[in-house]
Amino acid sequence: MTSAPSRPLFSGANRVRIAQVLVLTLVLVVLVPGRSSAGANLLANGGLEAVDSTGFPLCWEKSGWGDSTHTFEVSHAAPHGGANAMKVTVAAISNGDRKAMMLENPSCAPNVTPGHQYDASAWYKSTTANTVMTIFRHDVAQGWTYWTDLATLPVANAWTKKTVRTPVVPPGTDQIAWGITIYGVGILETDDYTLIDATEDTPGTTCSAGAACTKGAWQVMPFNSPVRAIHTVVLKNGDVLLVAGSGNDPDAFAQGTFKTSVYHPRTGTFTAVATPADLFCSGHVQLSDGRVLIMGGNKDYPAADASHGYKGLKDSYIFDPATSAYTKVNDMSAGSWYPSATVMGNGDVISLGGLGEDSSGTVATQYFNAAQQRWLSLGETKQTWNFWGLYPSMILMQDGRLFYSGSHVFGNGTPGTGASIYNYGTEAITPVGGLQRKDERDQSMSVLLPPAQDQRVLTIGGGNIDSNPDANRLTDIIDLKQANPVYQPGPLLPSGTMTGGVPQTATQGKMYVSTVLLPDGKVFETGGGLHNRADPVYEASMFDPVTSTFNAGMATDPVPRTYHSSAFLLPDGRVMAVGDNPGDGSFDMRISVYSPPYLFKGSRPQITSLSGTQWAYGSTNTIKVDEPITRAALIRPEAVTHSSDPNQRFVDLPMTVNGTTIGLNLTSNPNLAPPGWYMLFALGTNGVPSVAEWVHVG
Amino acid sequence: MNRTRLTLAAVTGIAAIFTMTGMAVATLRAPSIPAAIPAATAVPEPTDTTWPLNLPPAADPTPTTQPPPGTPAPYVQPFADQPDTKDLAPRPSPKTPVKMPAFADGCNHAYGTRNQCVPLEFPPGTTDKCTWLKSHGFKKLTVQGKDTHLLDRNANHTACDG
Repeated sequence: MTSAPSRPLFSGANRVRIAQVLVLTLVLVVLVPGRSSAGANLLANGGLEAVDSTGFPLCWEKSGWGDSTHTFEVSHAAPHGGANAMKVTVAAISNGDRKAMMLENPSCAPNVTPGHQYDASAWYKSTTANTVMTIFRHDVAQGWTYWTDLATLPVANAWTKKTVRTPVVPPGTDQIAWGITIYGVGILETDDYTLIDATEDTPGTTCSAGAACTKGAWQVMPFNSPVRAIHTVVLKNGDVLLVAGSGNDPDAFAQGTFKTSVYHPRTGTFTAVATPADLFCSGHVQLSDGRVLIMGGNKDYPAADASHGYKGLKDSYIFDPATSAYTKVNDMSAGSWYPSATVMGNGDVISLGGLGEDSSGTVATQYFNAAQQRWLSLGETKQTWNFWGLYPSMILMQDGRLFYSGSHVFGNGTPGTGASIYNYGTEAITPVGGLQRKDERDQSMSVLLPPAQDQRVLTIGGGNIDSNPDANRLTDIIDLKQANPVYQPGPLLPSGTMTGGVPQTATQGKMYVSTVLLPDGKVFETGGGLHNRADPVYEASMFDPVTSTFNAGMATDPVPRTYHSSAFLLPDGRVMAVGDNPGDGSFDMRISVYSPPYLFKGSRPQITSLSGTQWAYGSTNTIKVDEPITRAALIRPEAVTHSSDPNQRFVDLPMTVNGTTIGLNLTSNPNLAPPGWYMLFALGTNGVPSVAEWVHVG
Repeated sequence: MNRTRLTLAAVTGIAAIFTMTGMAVATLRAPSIPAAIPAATAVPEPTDTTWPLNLPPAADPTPTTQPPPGTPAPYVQPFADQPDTKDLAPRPSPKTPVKMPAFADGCNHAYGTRNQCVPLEFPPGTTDKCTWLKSHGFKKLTVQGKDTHLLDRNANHTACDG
């Protein structure tokens, strides 16, 4: 028997074929819209067929952490393709995970291009739902670093393909690597991994709106708020709850005149709501069903002779958007004037700090049990007896602990480093360093940067109402993914102008800051003042979490927004601002609405259908859109007062893309997206967001 | 903070999630019955029930069960373990209240109506307090308490008019 002669690699026939392939590829790349370089699998040994001397696939490694009984095996029994599949068996696990990972080295990890997106895909079988696609990126400055979790993989008895599109690759990234993690008892088999450039073409954007194209534009509404909107909550139906209580008006307090109104942005109308107590100075947060839990309030104003200060109520109410009415729940265990309110991953609420019924500092940890719809007694609640100050910004971390950002209201000489991590379960408080000028962060604002998965917090500006210095321009950023997270100085807040157009000095910044998460993943920063209830600052900027830089010079709200002002995102992608209560006791009732630059850049993508509005953790939920999109996200509606809304968050939804049918993969971790109603936004390739659809998580 | 502590944090968070969603079963603590708060003894003041307290520790909600098949458990990353950081020392149950200044809002409420805010400290560079007040909209400012800013030079209980 003779074997067929092998043809030289670059024989004439092969050269013709190679040339044909190259020409065809070039034509496809140039002419086919919607992809810049689609098609080629960028992975080395994605099929796991090439093995090293130990029999393990080249360019792959055994990875994971924690305590588990597990095995890695190159399986030859019915792989999806070729002769090999990867089988990871976890027989027992107390914590941690295991995964077969692409080797994080220059030879094996695929090269990627910043600004591009990639479809990561693998075939798998799994006996457990405790799996997740996890991706890492190589930063040219930082080295290899965790990027994000892309999707949970449902249990599958037969070979099943899962494809998830990465977020846009950040600047400074040259390689990525990923794997499928198993973190529960079970067997996970994987095979035939691919990574394909799926970058959508960015259409040319035309904008004829002049300065609004880059700065956005404000509009002052032709009507005023009927109440002093000191507390504002965006409701699950798109309306806005405006709570004044006595509205920092002692005359109204003396008369027992307490006010609330619901603003209907679609019609520009208001509905008055009977208000049962002085909810001025209360805390508030949306419960998982979209009702609003109100805690505490104002029991008394301070006496002129300083014999007593502000006093906090123990009262608590639930506002129901369906009935526009308050219902009383049981009292809190302590008075709460300026309390924090953070919803936890289980839907319960923890409230810390504030002033008690006697004007002293409230040291009780107060816990609202959502299932039982009541405040637990002190004895049922784990206590640290720590005084957290007033409106301490307590941000839920991905492991269920609370990060106290150091942003607060009032107070001087705050203890320790000014920031800490609080573990309710173990009652432990550990300090966090690095916050600049911790005693001048009064009415600064902290925000969990987009996406929530990135676990970074930005704290902006602040002052001190006691010593009354010029408010500062400081910003601090902390990466809570680090083993020992420490605040790092961020870029200085851009300078603005004072009344009359007088430029700020190089050191002047602002307190009373509002930060608003936008559907394009940026943070709009607006409003503020230089001193205690005085001297408004006209400045607004756009913070980009990807580059950690401010884009200065956004359009400024023509209405001063200092003490008792707030700004928040509306479901249509605009930002609404209310309130201003300077020292002379007046209150500005005007309402301003900001249209960010993205609203001037072309057509908005439409979410034409949803597979459902009830989303489970770890699920993939299908939407249809009318044009390609680059990103989808959930934004928790704001519940803000005094520059404080620790629950505001932007949760990335990694996409499984099939044309204009998009699977949106929700995290399995409720601490990243606490249960409740969220605004779902899709972002078009032109950077324009859709109008939000409302979905319920959990 | 060590890995064990972090794991405890994660487990606690997961426990709470199970509690809410009903995923866990018998080993989770049963719905709590409000515990009686021990009577406060020798309380000098005031009416606030926050202190002093000497309570037994609250129940630990840590679960030991796995969620049912098909429902993913929360995937929690081992971030912010803080291995180099010591916990703050635990605080005892308070015996005295945390005193706060009566004018906690930085306003000297001896002046004007109670919703007005004459600052406790005027901003840096202020050379004439009355000029500053006038330029910030204060009119006919009454003096109802101690005139610490010395604004009532003619002692008629109206600031900056003489």
